[in-house]
Amino acid sequence: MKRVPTLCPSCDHQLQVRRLACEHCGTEVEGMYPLPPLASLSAEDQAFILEFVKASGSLKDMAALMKVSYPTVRNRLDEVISRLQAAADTASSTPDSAP
Amino acid sequence: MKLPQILFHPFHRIAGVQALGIGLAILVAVGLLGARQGLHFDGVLDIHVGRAGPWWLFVAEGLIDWLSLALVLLAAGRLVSRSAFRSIDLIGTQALARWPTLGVALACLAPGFHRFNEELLKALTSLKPGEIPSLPTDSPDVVVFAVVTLVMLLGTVWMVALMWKSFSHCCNVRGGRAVTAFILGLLIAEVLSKLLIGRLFLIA
Repeated sequence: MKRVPTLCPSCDHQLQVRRLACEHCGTEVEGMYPLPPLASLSAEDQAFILEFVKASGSLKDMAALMKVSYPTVRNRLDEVISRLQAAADTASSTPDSAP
Repeated sequence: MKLPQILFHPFHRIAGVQALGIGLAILVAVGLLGARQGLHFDGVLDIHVGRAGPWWLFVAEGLIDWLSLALVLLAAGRLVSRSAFRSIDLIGTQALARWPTLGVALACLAPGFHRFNEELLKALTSLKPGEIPSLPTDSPDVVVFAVVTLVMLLGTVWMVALMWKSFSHCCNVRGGRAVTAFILGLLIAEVLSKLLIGRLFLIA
C-alpha cells in the first residue's frame, strides 16, 4: 500500500493536501488543506492507535495483545501523544497559504 | 524474552501484580535462606552476616527494604513524572528488582564462606593496637570468601540498576531530574529502612 508522504522531501516541512478528487465522477477540488494530526504520524504509530481504538482504549488489553507489560504500552502511548501534540502545534503555527 | 532483557530490563514484559507476585516469592525465599545462615539484608543496600534470629525477622527485613524504597520512589515519581502511571507497576517491579539478592543468598551458602568469615572476625576482634592482623589466607576458604564477596558486590550493583530501570520505566522518566530523584529516593529509603529494621531488632 502506498504511504501518504507527510514531510516535504526538500525542506522537511509539513506537507498539506493541495488537490482532492472524486473517483466516481471525476470532480476535483483544489485548495490548501492541512493534514489531520493522525495522518502526520508514522505508519507504526497509526497502527498502534488503530489497535488501541479496537481494544476500546484498554491499555491492559493492548499489553496482552503486544505481549509486553502495562507500563511499556503506557510509555508507547505517551510517545504517540507527544508526537500528536507536536503535530498539532506545527499545524496551528503554520500560516494558511491560499493558492 | 532475550537474556539481556531478562537480566537488565525484565519490566518491558513483566510489571504490576505479576511482578509483585514473583518479587514477593523471591523476597520470602531470600528471607528464609538468610535465616538459615544469619544473612541480614538490613537496609535497602545492605548485606551483612550477623546474629541468628527468628525466620520472620529475616523475611521482615526484606519486606521493609522493598517497601521503604517502593513508597519513597512512588512519591518521587508522582512529583517528577508527567505520565499517568499505576502505583502497582512501580511497587511490583521494585519487589522484582530485588531478585539479585536471591543469587547472593545462594552464593553465601557456599561451603567455607561462613567459616572464613568467622575466622576473619575472630582475627580482627582479637587485634591489639599496632598489631598487624594475621589473616588465615592459606586456607582454601579465602578463595570462596573472595568469590562470594564479589558476587555480593555485583549483585548489589545489578539490583540498583534494576531499581533504576523499574523507576524510569514505570514512571516514564529520564534525564537529570529523574536521576536526582532516584538517588535522593535511594538515600532516604536507605535511612528509613535502617531505622525501621533497628526498631525490629528491638522487638526480636
